[in-house]
Amino acid sequence: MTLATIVDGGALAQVVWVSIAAGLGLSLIFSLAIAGAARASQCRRAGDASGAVVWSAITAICVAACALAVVLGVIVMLHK
Amino acid sequence: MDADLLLVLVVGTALAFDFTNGFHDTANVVATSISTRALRPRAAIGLAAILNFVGAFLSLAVAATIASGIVDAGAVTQPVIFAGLVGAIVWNLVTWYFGLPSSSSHALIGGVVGAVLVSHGPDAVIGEGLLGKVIIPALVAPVLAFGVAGLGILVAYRVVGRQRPGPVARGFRAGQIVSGGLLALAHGTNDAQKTMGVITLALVAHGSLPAANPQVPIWVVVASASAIALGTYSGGWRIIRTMGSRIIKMDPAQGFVAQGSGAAVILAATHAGFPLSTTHVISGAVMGAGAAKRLSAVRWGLAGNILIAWLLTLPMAGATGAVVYAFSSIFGSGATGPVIIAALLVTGLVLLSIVRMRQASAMPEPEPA
Repeated sequence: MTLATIVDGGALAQVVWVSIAAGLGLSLIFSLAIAGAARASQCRRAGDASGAVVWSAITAICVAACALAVVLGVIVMLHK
Repeated sequence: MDADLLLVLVVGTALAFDFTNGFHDTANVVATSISTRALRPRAAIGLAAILNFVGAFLSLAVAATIASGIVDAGAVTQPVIFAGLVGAIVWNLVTWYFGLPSSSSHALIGGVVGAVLVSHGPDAVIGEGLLGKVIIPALVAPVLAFGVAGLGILVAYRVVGRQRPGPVARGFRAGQIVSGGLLALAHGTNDAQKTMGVITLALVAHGSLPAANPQVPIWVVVASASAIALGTYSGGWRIIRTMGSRIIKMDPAQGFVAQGSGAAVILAATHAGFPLSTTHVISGAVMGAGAAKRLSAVRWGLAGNILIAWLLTLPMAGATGAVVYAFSSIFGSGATGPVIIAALLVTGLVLLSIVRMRQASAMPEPEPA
C-alpha cells in the first residue's frame, strides 16, 4: 500500500492549483476594483474626466469579474 | 414497534446533530464579517441562516451512506448511526464550550468509526479510507488555505496600499457580505446533506425506502435545512469570538481575503471531489491572512489549542461513539438502550442550556468593536 493508492493525487493537485489561482485571482481583482474606484474618485475631484472614465471602466470590469466568480462558485455547488 | 421507535430516535438525533452543526460552524461563516464590522452580529447570522437553508436545497446528490469508504457499509446499522451521532453531538458541544472550531463532519465520522469498532471489530474499518478521506485532507486543508490567504493578503495590500484607508475598508466590507454569503451557501450545501444522508440511510434500514436508488423524501430535505438554519441562527458566540477576534484582530481586507480564499479552496475541493473540512479551511485562511501581515499578530498559543482539538476530534468522538454503542447494547438490539441514552443526552442539554443562559445574562452578545 503506497500513498499514491490512498490519495487521489490528480484531484489533490487540481485542488492546489485551482485554489491558488482562484484565491489569488479573487484577491487581486477585487483589490483592483477597490483601488480603481478610489482612483476614479480622485480623478473626478481633480477634474480629470478621462482618467475618471478609465478607472471607472477598470472598476466595472473587475466587479463584473468578481460577480462572474460568484456565479461560477454557485454552479460548482449545483453540479457537485 | 421497536424498529419504529429506533427510527424516530435516529431521525431526532440526526436533526439534533444538524442543529449543533449549524451553531458550531456558524463561526466559520460569520466571524470575520462581524469582527470587521462588515455586518452587525444578528444580521450576519441571520443572513448565514437563510443561505444555509437555501444551500441545503441547491443539490440533492446525497450519498445514502455515511462514512462511505471508511467503514464497511454493512456495518452501518441504526444503532451504529445513533451511537455515531451521539459521539459527534457530544464532541461538538465540548469544543463549542471551550470556543474551539473543530470539524463536525470529522466528529460524525469518528463517532461512527468508534461504534463500528465495538459492533463489528477492527476489520470493518477501512484504514486506507480513513487515511485518504479524513487524515490527509485534514493536513492539506489548513496548510493550503493558510498559504492562499497569506499570498492573497500580500497581493491585496500591494494593490490598495496607496489609497485612503476609509474607502478601501468600506469596499472590502461590502465584498465580505458576498464572500461570507458564498461560504454560508457552500456550508449549507455540504453539511445539511450529511444529515439528509443519515436520515435516508435510517429510512432504508427501516424499510420505509427501497434499498436500490432511494430518493430523499422532501420532508427530510425541509427538516434538515430547517435544523441547520435554526442552529446557525442560534449562533455559537464562543467560537465566533475565537474565529473573529481571538486568533487575530482582523482588518476588512484580511477578512475579505480570508473568506474569499476559504471559499476558493472549498469550491476547488468540491469541484475535484476531494473532501475538505470547511472548519479547517477557514481557520487556516484566518491564520494565513493574519500571519502574512505580521507573524506575531497570530495568537499561536490559541492556534495550538485549535490544532489539538482537531487532532482529538476523531479519537474522542470515536471513543464516545464506542461507549454509547457498548452501553446501548447492554439492553439488547432494540430501542431501550438508545431511549435511555437519548434521555440522558436531553437532560445534559437542558442543564447545559441553563448554564449557557446564566452565562449569557452575565455576558452580552459581542457588538462590533
